[in-house]
Amino acid sequence: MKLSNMKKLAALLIILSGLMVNPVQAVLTIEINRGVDVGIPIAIVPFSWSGAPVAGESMTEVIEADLTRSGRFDSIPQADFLQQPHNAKEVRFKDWRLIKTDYLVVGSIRQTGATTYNVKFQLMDVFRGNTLTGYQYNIQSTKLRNVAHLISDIIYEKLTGEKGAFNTKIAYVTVEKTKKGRRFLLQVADSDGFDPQTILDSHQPLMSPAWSPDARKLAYVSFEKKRSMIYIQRLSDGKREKVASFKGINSAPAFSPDGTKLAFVSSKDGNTEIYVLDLRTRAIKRLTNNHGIDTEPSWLPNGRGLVFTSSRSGQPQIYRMNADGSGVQRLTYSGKYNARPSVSADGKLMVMISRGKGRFHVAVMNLRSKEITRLTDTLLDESPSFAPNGRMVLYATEQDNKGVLAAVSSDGRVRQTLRFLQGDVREPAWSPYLR
Amino acid sequence: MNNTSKLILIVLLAGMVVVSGCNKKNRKAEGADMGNTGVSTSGTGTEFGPDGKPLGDWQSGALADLLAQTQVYFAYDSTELDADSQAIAEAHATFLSNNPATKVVLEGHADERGTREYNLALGERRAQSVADVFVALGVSPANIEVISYGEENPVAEGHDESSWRLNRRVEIRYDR
Amino acid sequence: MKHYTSRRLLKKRHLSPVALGLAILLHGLLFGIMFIKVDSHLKPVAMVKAMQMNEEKPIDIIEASAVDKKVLEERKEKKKAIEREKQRKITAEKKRKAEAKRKEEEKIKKAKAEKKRKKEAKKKAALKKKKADKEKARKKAEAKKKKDAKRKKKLAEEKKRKAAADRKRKVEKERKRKEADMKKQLEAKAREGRARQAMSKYAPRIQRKVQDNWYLPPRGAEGCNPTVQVNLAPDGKVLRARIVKSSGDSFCDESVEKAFMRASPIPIPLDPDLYSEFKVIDFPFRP
Repeated sequence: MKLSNMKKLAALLIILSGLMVNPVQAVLTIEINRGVDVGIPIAIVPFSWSGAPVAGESMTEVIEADLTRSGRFDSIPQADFLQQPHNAKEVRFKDWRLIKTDYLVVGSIRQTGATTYNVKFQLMDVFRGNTLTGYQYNIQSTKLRNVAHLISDIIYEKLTGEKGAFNTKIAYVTVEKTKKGRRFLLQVADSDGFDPQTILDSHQPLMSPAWSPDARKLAYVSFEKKRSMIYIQRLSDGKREKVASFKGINSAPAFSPDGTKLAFVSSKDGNTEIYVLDLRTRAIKRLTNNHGIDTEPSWLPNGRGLVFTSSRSGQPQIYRMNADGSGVQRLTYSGKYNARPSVSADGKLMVMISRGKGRFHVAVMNLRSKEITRLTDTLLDESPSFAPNGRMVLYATEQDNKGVLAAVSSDGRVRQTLRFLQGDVREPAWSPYLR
Repeated sequence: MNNTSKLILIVLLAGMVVVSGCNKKNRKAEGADMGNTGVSTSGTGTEFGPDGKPLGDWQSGALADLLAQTQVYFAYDSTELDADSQAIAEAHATFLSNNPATKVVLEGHADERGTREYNLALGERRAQSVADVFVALGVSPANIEVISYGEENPVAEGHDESSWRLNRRVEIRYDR
Repeated sequence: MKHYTSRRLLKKRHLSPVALGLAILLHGLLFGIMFIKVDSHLKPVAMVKAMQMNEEKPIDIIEASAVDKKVLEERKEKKKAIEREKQRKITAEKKRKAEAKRKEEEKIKKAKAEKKRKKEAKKKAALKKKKADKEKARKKAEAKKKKDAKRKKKLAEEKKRKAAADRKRKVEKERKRKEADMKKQLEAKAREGRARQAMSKYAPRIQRKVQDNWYLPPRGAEGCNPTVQVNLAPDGKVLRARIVKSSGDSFCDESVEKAFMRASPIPIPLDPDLYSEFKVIDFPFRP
C-alpha cells in the first residue's frame, strides 16, 4: 500500500516537473488515481397521499428498500430532510445540496376512484438542479406495490445504466410444521418477499423451482408420489404436467434460454447423469456419461452450453460442457467442494456454493478472469440465484435456527434478509424480467 | 432372554463375523450353522421378521436383532458401508433372499450440509450401496426399490454433528 | 571634443606677432618724428647766447692798487658774477623771450604739428579705423568664418555628439532592455519557483479532495479514464468542469463531473499572484 502511494507521488511529481521543463503549456495537470466506492446518495421524499390510505403500503419505503438492497444506493435518512416537496416545482435544490444528496425522488399518490389511484413521481439531479425523468400511472390499489417496484427499476436504470430487477418475482419453498406433519408450499412473491402466492401445497417435499424464460411457468421437483418427479406448472391457471418420472432420481430441472428444452438429472441408467428433454418433441438426450455424480445443470445465457456439478474428480466441482454434452471443461480448482453453479444473464458471472473450513457460502466467479469472490460468511448457504440483471444474488441461509432467504449484491457490498412471516424458507429462484 | 443378554449375543456374533473374515459366498451356509455355534437358544415362541411374517426356525435371535435395525449410517460425504452397516445390510439381505416374494425399499438420505441436489444424489448412492449388498447376496433387483430423499427428510433437526450423524442414513423399509 | 574647440578659440584671441610689431613701429615712428623736430629748435638759441658773450669788453682796471689779488679776484669774480648774472638775466630774458617765442612757435608748431598730427592721427586713425575696420571685418569675417566653422564644427560635433549620444543611448537602452529581460527572467524564474512550490504543496491537497469526492460509477473504476478540464474562481470554486476526453461511458463521465461539483471549492492558494497557475487544471483520471 505504501509503495503504491509513493509511486503515485512520484507520478505526480513527474508530471509537475515535466511542466517546468516546458513552461509554455503551463496547464497544471493533476492525475486522479482513485475514487470512493460508495453507493449513490439518493433522497426519497415520502410521496404525498390524498385519499383513502391503503394499509401497509408505503411506496417510499418500498423504493428505498429496493434501491438500498441493490447495494448501489445510499439513501439519505428522512430525519435529515430540510423540506418535503412533492413535485419538481416545490424543490429547493440548495436545501438538498446541503444534505449532500446527489439525487432526489419526489412524488404523489392521489385516489381517483373507489379503488383507483394516480401515482406521479420525478427524479431530480440535485447538482444540476434539473429533472431527469418522471412518470405517472393510473392503477388499481392492488398494484401500488408493483408500481413502486417499477419506479425503483426506472430510477435504478437511469442512474446505473443497468436494467433494474425490482419489478420481478421470486419463487421458493416454505415448510411449516402442522399436526399432520410437515406442510410444503411452493410460493411466488415479489422480489422483496412481499405478497406471496401459493402455487402448490403438499405434504411431501418440494425442491428446485425453476422459471421458464417467459416467467409464466415453473418447473419443480415434487415428492408427492413418494419419490422425486419433475412437474411443469403454468402460473396463470395452475395447470401442470409431469414431465419426468423415470426410475430413480428425477430432479434439477432447468429451462433452456429459448424455453424449448429442459435439462434435468436422472439416474434411470444406473447413475445420476444430466439429460435434456425437448419440450416439443419429448425426445430425451443424454449429456453426461460418467461414473461420478453429475447434477445441477444450468444453462449458459446463449444456450450453447451448460455448467454443472460433477464429482468425477472425487469431490464435487463445477464443469462446463456444450449443449450436446461435448467439450467438458473443469472450471473450479480451489477448495474441495464447489457446486450448484448458475450463470448471470450477461454471461459474465457465475455464482455457486463453495465449502471452506466446513462452512458453505455463496461465491461468485468472474468467468473471464476466473477470479472468485466470497459473498457471504454464514455457515449453511444454499441455492444461489441471480437476479435477471446479474447484480444481486438470492440465496437460502439459516438465521435464528430458521431457514430464511437473503439477497446479496454480486459485489458483496450489501446484504439484506428478506422478511417472511412464517415457516422455514428455502430453494429460492429469481424470475426473469416480467413481460 | 432378557435384553442385556440379547445385546451381548449380538455383539459376540458380530464380533465373530468380523474376526472370521468369512467369504460372502459361504454366508448362507454359515447362517445355517449359526444356531450351532455358541449360545444355545431355546427356540421358544414366534419371532417376526421385518415383513411382519413370523420368522422361520433357522432365522433366530441374532439375525432378528439385526433385522430389527432398519437404518444404516454413513460417514460424512461417504457412500460406503461401515462394518455395522454391512452387518445390518447383510442380515436384511439374508432375510430377503430367503423371502423372494418380499419387496424392500431402500431410502437414502443425507445431512443438510451441501447442496440439495447433490445430496439427493448422495442419498441415492448410499441406498445403492445397500442394494448392492442385497443383490450380491442373491436378492432379486426387481424386489429392490431405491429412493433418495436427499436432505429433505431429516430425522434430527439440529445443526450439528449429533443431528447430522443421524440423518446420514439409509432406511430399509418393507411396507409401503 | 570640447577641449579641442576651446583650444581653437583661445588661439583666435591671440594678436598675430606681425600685427603687434607693426603697431609698435608705427607709434615709435610717430613719436620719433615728434621729438626730432623739437631738437632743431633748441640749437640755434644756444649759439646766439655764446655770441653775445664774446662781444662784451672787459671791465675797469684803474684802481689797480695793491688790492689783494684775491680781492681783485673776488671783485672780478663778483663783477663776473654780476655780469654773468646780468648776462644770465638777459640770457634768461632772451631765453625767456626766445623760449616764449619758441614756445609760441612751438605752440604754433605744436598746433600745426598737432593739427598735422591730428590730421595724421585722424588719417592714421582713419587708416587705423580702416585697418581696424578691415581687421574688424576681417576679424568679423574670420570670426564669422570661425564662427561658422565653429558652428559647423559645433553642429558636426553636436551631430557627432548626438550620434554618439544616440549610440550610447541605444547601447544603454539595449543594456537596460537586456537588464530588464534578465530581471524579467529572474522574476519569472522566481515566480516559477514560487509557483512550482505552490503546485507541489497544493497538488496533493487538490488530488485528495477530488479523490475523496469521486464516487465511482456503476461499473467501477476500471476503464474509467476520462480527462476533465476545470476552471476555478480565485476562491477555488469550480466554475466549470468540462470533459475534454471522454471515457466512452456516459456514467463514468457523469461520475467525474459530479466529483468536481461535490469537491467545490478546490483548495488552491489565496495569493492572487499564483491564481493564474491554478486557474485552469487538467485532471486525467487513471484509477
